[in-house]
Amino acid sequence: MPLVLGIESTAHTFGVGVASEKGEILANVNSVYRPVAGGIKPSEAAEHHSKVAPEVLKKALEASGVSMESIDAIAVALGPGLGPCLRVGATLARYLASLLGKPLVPVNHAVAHIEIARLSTGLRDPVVVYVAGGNTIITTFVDGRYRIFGETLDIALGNLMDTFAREVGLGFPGVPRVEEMAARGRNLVPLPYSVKGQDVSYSGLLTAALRLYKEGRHDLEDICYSLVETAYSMLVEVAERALAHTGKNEVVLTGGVARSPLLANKLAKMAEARGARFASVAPELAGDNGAMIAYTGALAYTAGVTIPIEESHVRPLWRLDEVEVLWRK
Amino acid sequence: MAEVGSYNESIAYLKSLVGFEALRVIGVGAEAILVEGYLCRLHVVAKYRVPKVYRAEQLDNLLRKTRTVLEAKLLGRAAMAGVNVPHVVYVDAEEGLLVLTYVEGERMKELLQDYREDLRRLAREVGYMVGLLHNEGIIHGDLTTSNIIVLRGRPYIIDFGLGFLSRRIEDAGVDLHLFKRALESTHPSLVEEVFSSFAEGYRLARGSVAEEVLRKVEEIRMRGRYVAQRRRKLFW
Repeated sequence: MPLVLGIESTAHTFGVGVASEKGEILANVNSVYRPVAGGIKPSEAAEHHSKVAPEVLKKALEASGVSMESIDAIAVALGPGLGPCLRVGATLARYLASLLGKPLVPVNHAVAHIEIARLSTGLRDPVVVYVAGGNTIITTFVDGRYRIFGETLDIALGNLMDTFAREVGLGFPGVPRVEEMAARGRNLVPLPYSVKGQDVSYSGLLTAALRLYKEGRHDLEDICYSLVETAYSMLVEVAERALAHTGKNEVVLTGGVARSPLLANKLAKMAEARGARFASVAPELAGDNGAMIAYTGALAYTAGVTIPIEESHVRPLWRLDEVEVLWRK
Repeated sequence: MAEVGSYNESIAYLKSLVGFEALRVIGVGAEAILVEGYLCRLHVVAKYRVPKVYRAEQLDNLLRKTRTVLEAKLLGRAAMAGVNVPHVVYVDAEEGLLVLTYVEGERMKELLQDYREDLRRLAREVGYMVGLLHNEGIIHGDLTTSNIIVLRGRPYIIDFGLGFLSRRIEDAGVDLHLFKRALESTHPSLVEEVFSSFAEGYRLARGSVAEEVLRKVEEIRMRGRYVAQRRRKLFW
């Protein structure tokens, strides 16, 4: 049974995990870069990653209880993500692979979020709602790949919430802060509800919500409530469209925003009304983490996917639907 | 499989309409349930926008009402422009109810999957119809092969539920972009064949504006995240 060590460094998280193809997670150690102010500066995040890398790797190996030699392959998230950050993980992975003479396995970060959610929830063929700081994608498996049924046409849901929270002084991370305020909101203020076919657009919503705040005629609680209601309803509507279109009967929520109880609740209600099953990825596997890269790497490695070190360039714009998912029928 | 309570409720409501006779539930779409039946001896489909429990009531009511009214308006205009669409028979905006004439035939989705039609000719005709819509400033908003019904070789465009009025090249471009995306996700192997014929028909209906819109489609595609072609522009 192949055992794979996986390295994640696509954005603010540097993580190392150890997992088997059967889904045993032996280690999952992560270190998250927190900017002092503002958003992520790629160069600073990369600097953080290089600093913590040796310690994270050491802790992950200790936690797994296995030696470096007994690991079958090294998996790394080559993309999509921020170039400087990706390079830290890729460099470490190449080094380990060549030092130990182990095969190197390329993993797509988005695919990893999907596979860890399937493992964590036990849902076999779900419509996947993948929401994070940098991604908002509705996808499902068709014809050998994860096809993108809907996505944001501009900014990601996490990005919308983080930026709004920062601009109105609620701090980071945006989702729990905004949701906390939203829980006390009572009045729905109309905001742009922008569903275009199977895609959503959030940039107009962000602008409108910030304008409302600056006008000062509404309570922040009500603005937060309206923002959350509108943004989440748009996403759930698109997920429902994907269910109706594909005829599938499972929905899974994954990615950093999967920790949102409000979004999960809305998706659960939608699924229930359609007679579909719904589940969220386990909270500890929701955000970026090394275990998901290790597990997906193990699936890929078992299916014969490896990459020569000299070809293992980082792929900052690596699209989810470019990956051939050889381990699924 | 779904919303049995809503079925019964909506069928009961439909039956309360004088002269409506429900035959069967055709389908439970993402936002509406469709019930086939007869209204004053017309073969009709009632589209009932079911309240969504996941949305705040205020938001839900507003969306259902405005979408119902707009859909009726767009269908009327499309018919007058010579596009094959179902005709509006009855509207109750507050309830989110729209009754339309029933379009017999098969979905383009299944025809493409079974390769049973002359795909190029059909795609050309669909492109022509969409071109006529855009000439009238009608943006469909959800062009997929599930929303095109083929009857005796002729396409009918249905479900204007996400449509709107606009003369912007950008909006026409997004409309076509979504159609292409729907082809990619549902019929990956046929995208080029179907879309190039579609574009031919579209050009025929729209003349010189068509090129502008088709260029826009490429531009919109490049705006998306992680597009392979966009990598060429990266130097680092």
